[in-house]
Amino acid sequence: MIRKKVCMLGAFAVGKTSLVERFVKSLFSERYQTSLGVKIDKKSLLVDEQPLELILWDLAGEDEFVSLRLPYLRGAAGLLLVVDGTRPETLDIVLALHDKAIAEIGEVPFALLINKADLTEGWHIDPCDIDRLVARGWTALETSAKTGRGVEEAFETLGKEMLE
Amino acid sequence: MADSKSSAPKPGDGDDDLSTLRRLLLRPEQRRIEELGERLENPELHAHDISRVLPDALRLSAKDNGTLRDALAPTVETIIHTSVRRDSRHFADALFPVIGPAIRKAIAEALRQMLQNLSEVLEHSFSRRGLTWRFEAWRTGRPFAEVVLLHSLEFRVEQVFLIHRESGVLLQHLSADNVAFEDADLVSAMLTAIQDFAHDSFAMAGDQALDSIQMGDLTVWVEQGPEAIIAGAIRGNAPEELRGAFHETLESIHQRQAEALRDFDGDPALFETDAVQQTLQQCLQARYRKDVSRISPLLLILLLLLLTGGGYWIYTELREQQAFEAYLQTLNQAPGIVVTNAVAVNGGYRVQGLRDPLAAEPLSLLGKKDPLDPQRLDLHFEPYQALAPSFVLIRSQRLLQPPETVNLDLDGEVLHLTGHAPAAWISEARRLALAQPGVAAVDTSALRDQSRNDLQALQTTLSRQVIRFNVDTTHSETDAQTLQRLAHDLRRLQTLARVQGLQPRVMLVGHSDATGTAARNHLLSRRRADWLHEHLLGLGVDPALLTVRAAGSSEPVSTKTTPAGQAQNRSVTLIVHLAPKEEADK
Repeated sequence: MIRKKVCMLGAFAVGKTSLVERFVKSLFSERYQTSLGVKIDKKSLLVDEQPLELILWDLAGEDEFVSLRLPYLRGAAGLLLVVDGTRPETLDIVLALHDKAIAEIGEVPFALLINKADLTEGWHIDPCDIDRLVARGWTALETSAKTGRGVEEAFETLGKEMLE
Repeated sequence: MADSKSSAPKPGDGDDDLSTLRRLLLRPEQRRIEELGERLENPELHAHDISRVLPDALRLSAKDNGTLRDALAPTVETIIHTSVRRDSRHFADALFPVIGPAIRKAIAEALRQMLQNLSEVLEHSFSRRGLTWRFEAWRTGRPFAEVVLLHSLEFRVEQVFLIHRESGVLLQHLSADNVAFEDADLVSAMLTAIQDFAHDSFAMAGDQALDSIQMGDLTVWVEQGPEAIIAGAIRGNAPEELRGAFHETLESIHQRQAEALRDFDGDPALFETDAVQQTLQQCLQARYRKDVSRISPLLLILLLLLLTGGGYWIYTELREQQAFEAYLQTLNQAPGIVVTNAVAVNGGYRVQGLRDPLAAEPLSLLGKKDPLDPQRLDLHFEPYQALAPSFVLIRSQRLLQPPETVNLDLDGEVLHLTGHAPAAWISEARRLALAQPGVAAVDTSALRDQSRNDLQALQTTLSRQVIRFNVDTTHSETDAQTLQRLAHDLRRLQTLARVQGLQPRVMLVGHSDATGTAARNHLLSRRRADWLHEHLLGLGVDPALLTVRAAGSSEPVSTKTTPAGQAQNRSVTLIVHLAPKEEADK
């Protein structure tokens, strides 16, 4: 059984927590996120028949008042970058966070999750921006906190990348 | 390939030559390639080849990491499932030799555990301490086990986490028996997060880190190493030396697993070895209080009071019992008292028996300082006659009423009478005494008749009587009273002698002093005797009793020549003679 630390990054209120909550094993209350700045969950999955345990460090969303606690990133083997499809600025924020993370811990496998995919009509992120990222080799997945679409695949994709 | 295509000569241009050249040049290689191709395509040959390398490959793979094991596990599981489903007998046969010992071992272990639990339950259930704890559990509504743990535990390391320092990934986790714990992976990560948070929030310098978290009686100690940390969840008050144990364990793990820690990429299997487990096990310490029960001073005082009270009560009871037994002995030894029954009743004593009325009063036998309270004695004595010599004697005294001159004495059953008494009393006493129980014989040999005694006394008195006369006179000036008494004595003499069967004779002998002639003196003495004779007859004395004789100066009363001696010789004396009657008659 391999265990990997995965950090979830995103702007404030992009729905990171609600996105994964039905897929993970939780022990601690969400209150920790506001107090400690992190909430920890566990996701068990099989990648090519191999059991993998992801220890998810769901870091508090960054905004103008809260900044990322960089020490939490240490030892992360992967990153989940979450953006809100209806708020284009969250993409910029997550890109900035990604840069910070790289500066702190170096390059690690990551996946970009574009959340609230069920509100496709209300999307304001320019698909071209996404395409440009994909063209740079990024993994971008559309997910829905409401239906859970794409979340499991996101874990598997990241898991696979981390094990390679 | 693309390059070779682009630089190839056009078709038809020396094609055959090239083929020929190729054949010539590469013939051996081509043949080799064909052989290899056949080997690859021919499953039989292929299997043969693989069978040769497979054992080595398996060994290598097992040595390297667990990939092969993980890859094989699902297949092996399926094989076992299929095999059991198809025919379970093969499996049963294979397991047969091991299943017996395994079951025995499991049962033995279960029994051992049960016995241990039972002994703990017994100790906790029936000791004073156990009952107190049970009461506390009932009062506070907490489970009994928890109360027991809280009281008897000094400290216990309930869980130990070995955590990869950088990622917070759990490497190994151990817990004490019967400790419920949450998902160790998450706790491990959270501990790391809290560490980071504390370090970040309070701007700790360099290697400084949170090393202790306290929640009620649960403490989490964190020991930092360069690559890994050890966290221990401890209930109770952990001693400082425990930190030393944590530190040593961490050092040892760093030493032995240095490489694995440095290159850790998320596979904790490297730390799930027996060696690491045993090392970590050293941190799972616990210490129980040897004896938490202390006897409260209040209880001690109470016990002491009870003991003192009880001791005093027993002492007085014993003392009284002893006193009662001594009293019974005294009663039994007292003459005339016989105890037939003695029992303790209602905090007192009832004594029944027989008592001679002459015996001592039973209560008087109780000493004044006797610890036995007379109020607690219930005495019932029936009267009886005891044959104790003292009582027989007393009863004899009462019955015989002896005169003062008689002494009574009992020797065995013989009553001895001594002294003197009237003859009538003596004969009466002889008769009466024998009627008395306890008297078998009466001895009167030492008892003299009273009258004989009196007679002798009277004889003596009369013999000493001297009736004086003046010089040369024949009339005495002795007073009338003396003469009357003399007459009375003489009459009594006669009576007493008669009782005794004796005949008395009294000779009145006249005397004179030595002056003058003998004839004269003789005459004088004769007349003096006659004078008394006459007077006595005049006073009623029997003439038959008296005779007269003149002694002159030949039988002087006093031999002294002094005037007083001579005066004594001028007198009349009496000589009393008692003779048995028959003899006298003759």
